Amino acid sequence: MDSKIYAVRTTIGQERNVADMMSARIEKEGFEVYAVLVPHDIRGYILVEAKDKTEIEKALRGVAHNKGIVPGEIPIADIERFFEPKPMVTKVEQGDIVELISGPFKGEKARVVRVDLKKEEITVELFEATVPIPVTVKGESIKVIRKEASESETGG
Amino acid sequence: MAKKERACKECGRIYTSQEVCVYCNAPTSPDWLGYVRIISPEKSEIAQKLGINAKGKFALRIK
Ligand SMILES: [Zn+2]
Repeated sequence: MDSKIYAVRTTIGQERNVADMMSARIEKEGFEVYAVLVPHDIRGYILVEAKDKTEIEKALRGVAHNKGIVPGEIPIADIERFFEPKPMVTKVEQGDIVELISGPFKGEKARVVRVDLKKEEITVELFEATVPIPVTVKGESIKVIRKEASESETGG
Repeated sequence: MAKKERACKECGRIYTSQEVCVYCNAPTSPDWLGYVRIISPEKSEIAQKLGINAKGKFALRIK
């Protein structure tokens, strides 16, 4: 792929509008801009993929709430977390064995004791702890290793 | 501003109110996060990473 990614600053709360207004201009004028991404957890920024920075500048011309391109090019590896399918808490059940993939207990294995769908939180008990203390984590900070009542445990 | 748009649970396509995706026939959900506009799927590495090969509006995460 021969494209570059830059962050564009926007007025907070106007990320989606800037993305849509830019996209309309790109489609109308045929600028070499390939994708516009609005991360849900970064306020005041959007990510734009294009042939080069100049094409993004052209697409942004006259777009309200656009506060300009952040100078450095962003390697795709830096934004890969947006592309990884995150475990949905709805797919996690009590009794599942999970691995914590972020936070202070990263790398630890645990058993799910409770799933809070509303808060998207999962309460687990760590295997390595001498006393099984329940720890509550966000749905995206775990990955399921083995489903309860599943025969597909790996290794041996 | 309330978000009433819905995203397909299979492909992530965003609809204004449609309850079933016209491409996948899968149900849509009003509960989604992240937004991407794919303009040139064939030239976009972001589209490739997301496994999207069509133009349009997509959600990054659907509940
Ligand atoms: Zn669909």
